Amino acid sequence: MQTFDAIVIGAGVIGSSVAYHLARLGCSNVLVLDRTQIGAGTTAQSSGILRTHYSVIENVRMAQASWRVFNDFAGYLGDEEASAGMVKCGYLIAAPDGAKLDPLRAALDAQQAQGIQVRLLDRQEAQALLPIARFDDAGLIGYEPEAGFADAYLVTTSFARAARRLGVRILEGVEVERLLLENGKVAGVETSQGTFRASTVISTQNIWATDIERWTGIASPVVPERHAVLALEEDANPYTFQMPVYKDLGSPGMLYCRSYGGKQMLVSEGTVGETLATPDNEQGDISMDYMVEVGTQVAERFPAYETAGVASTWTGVYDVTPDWNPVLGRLPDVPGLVVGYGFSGHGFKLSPAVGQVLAQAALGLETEVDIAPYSLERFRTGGLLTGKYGLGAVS
Amino acid sequence: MHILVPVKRVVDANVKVRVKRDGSGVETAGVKLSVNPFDEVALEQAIRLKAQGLASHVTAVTCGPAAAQDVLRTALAMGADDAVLVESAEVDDPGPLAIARWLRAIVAQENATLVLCGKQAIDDDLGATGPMLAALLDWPQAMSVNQLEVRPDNTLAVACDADGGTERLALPLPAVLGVDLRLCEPRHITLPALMRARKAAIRTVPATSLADAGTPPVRPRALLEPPPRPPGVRAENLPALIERLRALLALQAA
Repeated sequence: MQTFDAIVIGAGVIGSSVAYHLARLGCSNVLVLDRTQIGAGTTAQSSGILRTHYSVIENVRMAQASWRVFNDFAGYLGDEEASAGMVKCGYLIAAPDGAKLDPLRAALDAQQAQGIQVRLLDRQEAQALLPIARFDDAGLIGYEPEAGFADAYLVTTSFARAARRLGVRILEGVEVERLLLENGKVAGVETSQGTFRASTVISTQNIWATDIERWTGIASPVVPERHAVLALEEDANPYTFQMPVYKDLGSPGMLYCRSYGGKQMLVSEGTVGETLATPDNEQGDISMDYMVEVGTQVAERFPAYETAGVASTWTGVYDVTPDWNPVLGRLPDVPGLVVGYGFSGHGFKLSPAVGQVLAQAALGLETEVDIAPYSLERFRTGGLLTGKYGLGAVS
Repeated sequence: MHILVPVKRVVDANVKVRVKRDGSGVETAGVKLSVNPFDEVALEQAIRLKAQGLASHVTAVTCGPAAAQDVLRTALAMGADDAVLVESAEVDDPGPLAIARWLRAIVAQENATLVLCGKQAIDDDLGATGPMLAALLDWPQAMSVNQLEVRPDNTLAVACDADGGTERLALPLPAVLGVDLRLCEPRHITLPALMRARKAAIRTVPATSLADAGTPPVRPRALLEPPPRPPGVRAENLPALIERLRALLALQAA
């Protein structure tokens, strides 16, 4: 039987980041276990958008710390071959006059107060940045130049490789069957490949975090929610890498759009998806009705895309909590257990900072960003982190 | 020339196929289902022939329960003129012979002169329906077609994958062609076409009214997941690796 200083369950982007940060902080006798392969779960389905725009200030801080890492990813990992696959095209967010206008103004003000470079654009400026969209109904347009999108799978494998170089062991194809408790304290895990001992276990299991409830009896308020993504192609009006990510608060589905391959438009709704009865990240069916529903909204905002072709479609699954924000930190009732789940569709953009704070929490260090607001207790005490745009991954 | 394109609804190529818990079949509940990619190529080819003025009409047909209409709507959105659902029961795969019998009846009803189908479906990889249909119709057939030309005298010149290389064949019409993925690249469905196809009428014909399905000559006995792949072996160093390779039976025989 092997003993480790810490065991991380799940080698998605969060788990890999935690493992790397543990080693970076000097704790390299770490084991990471993944039921399938590194980054093969919900991570691989991420749309990869990077922004610090949030209506919840704690998220702004976490995203800001993460952006600094993404911005110099190879330097941060000390691995010149590491890449986040970043396209720094900026982030544009617009709302028409109406209910979303005030929250947008407040969120932009809060970003500026954090020292984040955010500008208000007039319609012509926005049009110049994203000529394929129309802005004639825009009441307020915010632009964050230090933003864009990256590749979640590349980031995950880069974190994993850097962790391994520092001595971390990552095993794929190992299913954790039970959390081992002794005198109420974490003692390790029982897996399909035998028992591994550690007095600290960090669960970064995304939609599979309901295992925690099964193992400890402590509720993990997370439901798997499937979201669909379309890639649209309009030859005469490509969505280029120079064009910013666009968030359309005016559309019923609060669409988000970005360039896909420098030519196509990746688009999805930023609202509530389809709840699944059991955690499963397999590709789900996307009905023709749904494609038409999203396509109609796209055509409304991007007139040239009215006749666009559907190049491909796929689904991804979010681990959604009641306030669409994650649960981070130690579970006080189970000494030795640290959790990070419930990212509700915006985990990738927070993954460097989350990895760092969870590693710090696991090692009993002070965390870089205060994670008290993300505690599980908030669902009992009512200190929810609900975003100002309603339910959805903007948070 | 009226082209009939039989399409099959299959588990999408990007889905990891899983066997149902009770072993009765492949799990399709909640899973992405799509047009068989080979059939999509056949559809594209048929639509191009119509656009070139070489075909007068393209009819897509599928056999299955009402839910199988999805693939017909995709076919209509791609450009098929109309679509027929041969409605069969939800339970049990009827098998290629029953489907070939139903398709023979549809060919007669529609007065089709060319059947363009995929050379196989990606679910069972059988590749049996096309040849069976050709045999029932007593029409010439060519399978694994990767090039197609309709000649001025209304005969077909095709290139097919064969064991020894490429076979070039000439066929008179009517004929059955089973197409390969390399024949052409299917187009993207456009949003307006999707909207039209969503509302388009689909003709439904009960399978029982076409032909007796008969008893399938082949019956699956059991369905099992492939055994898990054993983990790789890590050799300590190069000599150890060479030693291991030498010990392999396959290399010893050589």
